[in-house]
Amino acid sequence: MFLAALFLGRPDVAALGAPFAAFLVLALLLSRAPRLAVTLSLGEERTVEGHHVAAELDLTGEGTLHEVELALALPHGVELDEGSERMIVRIPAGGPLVIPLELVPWRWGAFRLGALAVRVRDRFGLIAYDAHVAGDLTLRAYPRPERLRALVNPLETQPFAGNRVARVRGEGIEFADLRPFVAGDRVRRVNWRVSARRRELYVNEQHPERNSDVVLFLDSFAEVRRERESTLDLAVRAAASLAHEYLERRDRVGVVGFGGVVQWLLPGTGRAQDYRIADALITSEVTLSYALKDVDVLPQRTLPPQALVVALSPLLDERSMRALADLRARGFDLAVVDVSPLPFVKLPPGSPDALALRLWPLWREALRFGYERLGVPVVEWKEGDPLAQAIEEVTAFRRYGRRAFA
Amino acid sequence: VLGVGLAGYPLQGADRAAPVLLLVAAVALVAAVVSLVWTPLPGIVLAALAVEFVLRELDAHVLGWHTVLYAAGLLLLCELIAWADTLRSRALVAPDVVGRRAGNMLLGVLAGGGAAGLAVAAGSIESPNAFVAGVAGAAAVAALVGVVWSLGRRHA
Repeated sequence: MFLAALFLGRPDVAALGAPFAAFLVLALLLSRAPRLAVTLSLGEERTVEGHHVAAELDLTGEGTLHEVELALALPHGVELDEGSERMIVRIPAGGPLVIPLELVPWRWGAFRLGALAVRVRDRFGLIAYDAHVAGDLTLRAYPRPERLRALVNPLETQPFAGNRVARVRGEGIEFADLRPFVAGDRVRRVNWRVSARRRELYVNEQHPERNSDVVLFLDSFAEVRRERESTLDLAVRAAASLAHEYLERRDRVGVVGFGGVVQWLLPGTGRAQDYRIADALITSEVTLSYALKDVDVLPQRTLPPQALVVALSPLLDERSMRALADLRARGFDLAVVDVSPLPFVKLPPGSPDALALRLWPLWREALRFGYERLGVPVVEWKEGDPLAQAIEEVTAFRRYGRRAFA
Repeated sequence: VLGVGLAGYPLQGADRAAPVLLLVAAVALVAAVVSLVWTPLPGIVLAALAVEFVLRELDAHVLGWHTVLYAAGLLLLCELIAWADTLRSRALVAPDVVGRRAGNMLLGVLAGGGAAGLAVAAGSIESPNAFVAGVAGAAAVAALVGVVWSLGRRHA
């Protein structure tokens, strides 16, 4: 503009460029490099998915910061209850600006929070300073628990005390049988009514109360996802609920995450084990892997003898299906909850895959039938159905179905 | 509205250059609309409007205070386009940020208008020697660029 004014000899043309030059000079003169401290704090570090977590964003600047643009980098699974992840605020001199936030982890998981991008503009918006803040907070959102009144009862119990009535006879409360008195029997176990009728001493036998070992086998080879839900999400919720309920009944519970990455947690009991399992489950994810894996990759102690193995699988990957058959062949008491991927698949009308989608349920039914012939109860659990229903179906199969296939 | 006003002003009283001015005004308006709805093109808007004004100035002289208003309007338009781009994101903007930014923008426009007035006033000084006037103008431009450069270097 100025050069044009010089060439044309028209000072009025220079006047067009003068405001821009003046603005530039003014803005550069008044601009200072900002100093800003940003801290995100969480009201709680552990929560249940779907629950609100209060958080605060503390911004402390040196002098007045006229325009601070913040972009919170929230991980997949966490969102703000209200407002936007991007905000533009002004930080007054002399005091921190505290922005209250309401975070909602809509999915279980361990989330790294606190990462954000900051852009500070000068008072005229001419110069911008960018910075990235790395996240160093972890929010653990545990799966929503589902109350289960009944559980799949293990066929065998372990020698430790628990809440299950063992099949064997010994010291306990539950009446089992009568037998003639032998030397060494305690007098308090004598059944006097029967002894009087039979004219010889008879003693009562009881079933002892024992615990059992339960291994939750989580198939994480593959999942079917639809927006915010996936088969793995459901499986982890079910695993957490089952683990909690079995631990409440004083059983020893372990977890095996069988997938691209194999994880395991040795069976244990008590509240601490409940937390350990929850912490292990929320790190579950589907990792793509083409490696052939079978149950031999698991340490022996993860699968104790006579343990009940409850598998939660969408039955999508050949490797997990083979592993389940292998477990059954090794004599484990196995029950499979088939986390059905069918509700997650929606085809547009007229899709050429429609025929395949109609054949898929038939193929899956044949697959379940194959397991049932091995004596393994396989129940289909669909999104929205209560887990208790699936558990009840397993129990019913174990009560009646096994006989039908025998 | 401001863009339409700035594009339309040079057309008033234009004689021979009217068709060209109309074309340039149309380019400026299209660029302004694109800036508001898609991506900021303040450079094109500014260049087109400045060219339009220069053509009008060459065609028929524009009054000094009109030039000052036009120059301040150009700055305001470019700033508004830049600001609109900042606010285009789904960011939540605090009300005091908007108020302060508007105030600062007004301050900048007033300072810009003052500078334009000074330039117009300086241009009205009659110099007997065209060479001296040219050298003085070039020195003023070089000095201005130098100030901006040195301030910019300080922030780089």
